[in-house]
Amino acid sequence: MSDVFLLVGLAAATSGIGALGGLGGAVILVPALVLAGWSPMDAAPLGLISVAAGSVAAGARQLSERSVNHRIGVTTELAATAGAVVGALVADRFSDEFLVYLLASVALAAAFMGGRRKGLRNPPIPGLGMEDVGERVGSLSGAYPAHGGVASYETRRLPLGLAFMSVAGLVAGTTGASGGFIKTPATSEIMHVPTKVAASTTTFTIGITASAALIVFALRGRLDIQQSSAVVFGSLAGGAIGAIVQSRLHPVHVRRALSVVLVLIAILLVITR
Amino acid sequence: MTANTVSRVTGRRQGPILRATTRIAWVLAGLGALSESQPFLTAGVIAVVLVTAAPLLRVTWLILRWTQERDWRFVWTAAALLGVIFVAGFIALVAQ
Repeated sequence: MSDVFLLVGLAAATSGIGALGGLGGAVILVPALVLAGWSPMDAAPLGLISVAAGSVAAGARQLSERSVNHRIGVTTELAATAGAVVGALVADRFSDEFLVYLLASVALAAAFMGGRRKGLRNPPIPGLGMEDVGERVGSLSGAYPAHGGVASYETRRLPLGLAFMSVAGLVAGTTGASGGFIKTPATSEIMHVPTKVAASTTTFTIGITASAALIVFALRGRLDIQQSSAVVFGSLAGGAIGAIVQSRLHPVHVRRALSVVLVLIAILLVITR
Repeated sequence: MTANTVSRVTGRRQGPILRATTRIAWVLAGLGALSESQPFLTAGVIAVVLVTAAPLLRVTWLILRWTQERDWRFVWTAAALLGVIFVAGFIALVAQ
């Protein structure tokens, strides 16, 4: 039972922090579970459950803010899901030691990318009103409410962005850490989608990636229902609270703090291996 | 509709459904975490199925809405996404 309480607490905390930074909580949850004694093989499906639950929990609020671009999400997700499925299918073939090093590398990469990410690229455009907010039919562009006005955006460098999404999916399927820490910066920095739209769209898509990989894990009998329930319980609460707080805090400060936590996790993972 | 038309898919209907799903799954997951006896495990299974299925149902819903908007490019993209997931599940089942 103490494992259940630990899982609820860890899932709530990591999903909350993940929703705050738009990175997904599993990138913290999976290393934290490994540190707490779970094997990376057992921690991976729990991480994916946390991602799916966090995505569902944050979804309602992000839809009401109209910050999700579903067309960008579905397009990038096609590449990511293919990567996630390959990762989940080959995950059994990797040693625990390899997965620990992979997770530590992933945590460091997330720290670097989250820490260096900048804020506003698309300023509000005079003349655009709330009736212009939303996705554009037939294209990967749109407009969203930003800083007292409405800012428009258009996706760029799609092939390079899709390549990064495949890598993100592969990491998610192999380790159970959501690929959000790759997807959000790639959507924002490579494809030039505003950070807020990128974070909300990524929260939507990491749920799909996680679902795809979870189906594979479930069919292989690798889901412990009691532990999974504990993670769902904690992640739904943490994800909802994180999404509320996200809309009130400056994301740059949150991401920098998150980077420090991720570096510490990476160091601890390797030291305690 | 042209590429400059604002999509009518706003998530106004999807939001309340997601909120309700979150609440139901949360209660069931709480029960599932309490005990390993059968009724509690069943509640846990339903909670896990709900959070796993919800993102895929959102994609299915998008296919229906984009079909209404005749945005065929994204209808096919979303359908291909669900197809990849379906094929992956099949491969996982066969490869066991």
